[in-house]
Amino acid sequence: MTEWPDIDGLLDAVRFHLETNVLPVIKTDARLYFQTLVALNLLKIGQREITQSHDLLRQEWAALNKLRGEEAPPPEQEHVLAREIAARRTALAKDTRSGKYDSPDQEALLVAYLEETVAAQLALNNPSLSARMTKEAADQSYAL
Amino acid sequence: MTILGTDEIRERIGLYLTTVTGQPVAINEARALAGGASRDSWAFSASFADGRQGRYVLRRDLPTTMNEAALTRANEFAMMRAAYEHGIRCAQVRWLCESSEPLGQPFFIMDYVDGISIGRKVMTAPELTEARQLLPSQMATQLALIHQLDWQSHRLDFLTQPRTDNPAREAVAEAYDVIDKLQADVPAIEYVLRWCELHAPTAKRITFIHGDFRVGNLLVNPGGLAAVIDWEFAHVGDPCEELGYLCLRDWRFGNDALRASGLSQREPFIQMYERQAGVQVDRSAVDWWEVFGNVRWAIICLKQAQRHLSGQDLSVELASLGRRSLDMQAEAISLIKRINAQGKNNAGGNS
Repeated sequence: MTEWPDIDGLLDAVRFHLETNVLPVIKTDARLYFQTLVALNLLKIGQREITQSHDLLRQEWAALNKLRGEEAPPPEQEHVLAREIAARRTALAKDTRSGKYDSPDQEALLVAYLEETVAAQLALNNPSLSARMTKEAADQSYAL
Repeated sequence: MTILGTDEIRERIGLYLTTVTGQPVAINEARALAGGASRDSWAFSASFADGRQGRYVLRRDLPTTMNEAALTRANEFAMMRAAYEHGIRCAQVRWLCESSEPLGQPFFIMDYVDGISIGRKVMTAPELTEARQLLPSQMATQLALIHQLDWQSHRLDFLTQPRTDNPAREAVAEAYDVIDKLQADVPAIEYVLRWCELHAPTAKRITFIHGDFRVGNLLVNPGGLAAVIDWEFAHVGDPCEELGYLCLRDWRFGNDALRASGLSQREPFIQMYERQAGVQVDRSAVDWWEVFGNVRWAIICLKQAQRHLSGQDLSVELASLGRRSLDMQAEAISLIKRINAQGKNNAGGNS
């Protein structure tokens, strides 16, 4: 048993305070109320990111390997992994702009990578929208 | 910025109106209006010495503007006057003050129009159930009118205009410029911009455009659309831009299945617009502008987040926009996939 709150516990305590003690008394100030709701949402995103970032980074590394046709092992240290992923994203952004992924086959590879990584990021940042879009794709209910 | 309380606002507006009207004017009440982060608005009622009474809204500049492309108050005043004279449903503007006296920043005053503008309330308020049925046709009618406004005869030359005959390509170039200045390397945004660059439509018409026409920028009351508001992003361009923009999922306020502003299917909306405007609309161009509208909004979100991160304008709202960018990135990618699939279906004769 931990003797003091971990990071998630600290954020949870802040979230509890804002929801329970602050929101009810600022309802008459519409702007402050809205801003506090935004702040609460960012806390929730932060809490999800703390627990998921390890897996998300490795998932993206694997997706980048697939796109690049490589099998490079991911760096052990998380901060190095994040830095390497950022460098690969930069290279990918430049290649995309220069037209490397214009052909249908290359576009399909790029879209596969983007769909996987953006979907994972969206699930973390906006679970509600993520769920709606996933359902639409699954039952093909969203025709143009 | 000069921070003014309610009593100060009342006193200063009263003095200003007394000066410009040449008669004593009393401000009976004034209240700040909740609105976007880019402006300062007040509603107030006034009694004139000649017996008239009126309700008005004052809009004041803020020193940190959200978007450099936004019109100045003076230009917005001129443009709203033109829109009103053209028969567009918008508030009638009354007085323009370009001086920093008496309120610290330029401002203008327009008639108060009763209605709700907050998107979620427009979509869910029980008293607006019937209004929501009326809105699609009213919006189509107003858009047709807006796109018919002769901006040149109204001397609105300050409006941003296309430099070439392809506003779509210009818009993509501007978007690249913004993302480069941010030094942001976002593969999803690069993919969408590249697709936009490769598929940019040619404009069949170049017209006056509101620039931010959607639920959220309409005053709605039980009778439906009472006034189009927030004209600060008006410009000249392809009207398909406007038709695509109002289809963004972000402006449907949860009514995802109703592509036209969360209120109607897109096809009946476009048909209403075509009847009112007397034109035929290229649906694939509207598709393109919907994709582009998403990626442009995704880029703007990153830009607003950068204002917070740089310390220029510390704000939890601006910080959150950086993460909201993902919503539009995901939507743009999904849209392109469906457009590409539809294109293959049409090419195969399966439409």
